[in-house]
Amino acid sequence: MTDELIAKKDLLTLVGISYGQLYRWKRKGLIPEEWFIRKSTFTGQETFFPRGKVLVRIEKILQLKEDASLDALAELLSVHPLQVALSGAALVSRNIVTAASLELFRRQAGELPTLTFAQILAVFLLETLLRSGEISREEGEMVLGLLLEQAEVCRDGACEVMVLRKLGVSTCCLLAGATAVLVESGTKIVARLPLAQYIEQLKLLLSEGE
Amino acid sequence: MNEETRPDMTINGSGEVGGGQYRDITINGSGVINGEVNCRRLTINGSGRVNGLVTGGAVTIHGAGKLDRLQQVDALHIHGAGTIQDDSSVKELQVDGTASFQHSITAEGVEIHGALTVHGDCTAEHFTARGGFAIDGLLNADTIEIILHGDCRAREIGGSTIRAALPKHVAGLDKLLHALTNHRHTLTADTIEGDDIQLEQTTAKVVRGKRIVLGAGCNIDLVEYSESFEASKEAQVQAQTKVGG
Repeated sequence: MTDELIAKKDLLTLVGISYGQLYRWKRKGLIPEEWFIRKSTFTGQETFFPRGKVLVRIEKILQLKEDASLDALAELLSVHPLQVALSGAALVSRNIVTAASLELFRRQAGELPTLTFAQILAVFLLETLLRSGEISREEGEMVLGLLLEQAEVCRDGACEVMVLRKLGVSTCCLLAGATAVLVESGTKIVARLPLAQYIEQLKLLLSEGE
Repeated sequence: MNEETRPDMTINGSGEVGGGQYRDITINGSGVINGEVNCRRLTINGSGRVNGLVTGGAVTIHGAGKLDRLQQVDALHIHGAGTIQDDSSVKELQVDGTASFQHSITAEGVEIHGALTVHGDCTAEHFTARGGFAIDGLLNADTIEIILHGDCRAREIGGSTIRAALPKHVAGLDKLLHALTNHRHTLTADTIEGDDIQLEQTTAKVVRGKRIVLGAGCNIDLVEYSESFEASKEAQVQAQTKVGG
C-alpha cells in the first residue's frame, strides 16, 4: 500500500500547473488534506504527495474542469454521496453494473423502482469483487448484505470492506477507522476494498452519463 | 422556523441561558449561552461566552467573547477580543481588535486591522492584513495582501498573488513610537509559494513562484522561480534557481 512520493515542485513541473492552482484546489478540497505530507529535507520542511494517487487526481481535475466549476468538481470528488435515484435498468444500460449483480441485489432488497446512491454503491462493489474473480457468488451475496445493512457506516467513505477465508469458510467485515489488520496465520484476506476510491469511481461514472 | 418570527433574546447585566433558535441575541454585560445557537444576529457588548456551535447571520464582539465554534456564519466582526475554540468557517472575518483561533479558520474574506492568532490553518479567498498576525499552520488564499504594520508570521504561505509591503506613509510620530518600542514591521515564514510574489521586509527559507520581486529588507535563503525574478540591492538572497519551463 505504500506509494512512492513526489515533491511538490516536481509535481508542478510534471503536470504543468502553478502554485496558485494547487493552493486553490487544496482550498476547494479537490486534493485531500492527508495527501499533503510534510517532510524535513535539507532546505527545511517540504511537502510531498503520494505520487500515483495525486497524478491520477490531477489528471482527472484537468480533464473535468473544462466543463464543470471547481465547486461542482469538489462535490464530485468528495466522498459525500450524490443525490441520485436510478432504476436498475438504467444502471445496466449505462454499464455501471451488470444484470447478474443487479439480480443478486434484487434477491436481497426486493424489486425497487429506483436505487439510492448507497444501494448503487453496494451493487457496484459487488460487481467489482465478482469481476475480480477473487470471490464466489455466495461470498458476494454476503458482502452485499453487509453493505446494505451498514449503509450508514459506508457514507463517509473512511472504511474498507474486507473478505476473509479460513479453511473454505468465508466471512466479511467493514473496517471503520482501523489502521492495521492482523489476522491469524490460517486466515487469508481474500479481498480488501477502500470505499473512498470506489465512491469516487462511481460518482464519475454516474456523472458521465448525465 | 421563519427567522422573522423567532424571539429575540437580550441579557442585560449578568445571566445564563440555554441555546436555541433566535432572531437577535444581545449580551450587554456578562452572559453565557449553553448550547447550540442559530440566529440572525449575535452581538456581545461586554463579555460573552457561547458553549456550543453558532450558526447563522452576523456575529459581532465589542468587548470580550469566547465562542466554541462557528459554522455557516455570514460575518464575524471582532472589535474587542475574541477567542474561538474549534475549527470554524465564516464568510467574512474582520478583526479590528484581537482574535485568537485555537484551531483553523476558513473564510471567503479576511480583513485584519488588529491582531490575529491562528493555531491551525487560515484559509480564505482574499486575505488582507493591516495589522499583525501569527499563523501556526498554512495561510492559504488566492490573494494575500499584507501591509506591514506589525509582526506578521505564518509557517507557510500559499496562493496566487502574494504581496507584502511597508505602509506608504509612516507618520513621524509613528516612526518614533516604533523606534522606541522596538516594533517590528516584518513578515516571517518558512516557505512562501505563489504565482505572483512581491515582498518587502520578509524573512523566509524558501520563496517559490512564477514571478518574484524582492524589495528592501528581504532575507531569503532560496528563491525558485519559473518566469522572472528581480531583487533590490537591499535584499539578501543566498541562492536562486530557475526551474521548469
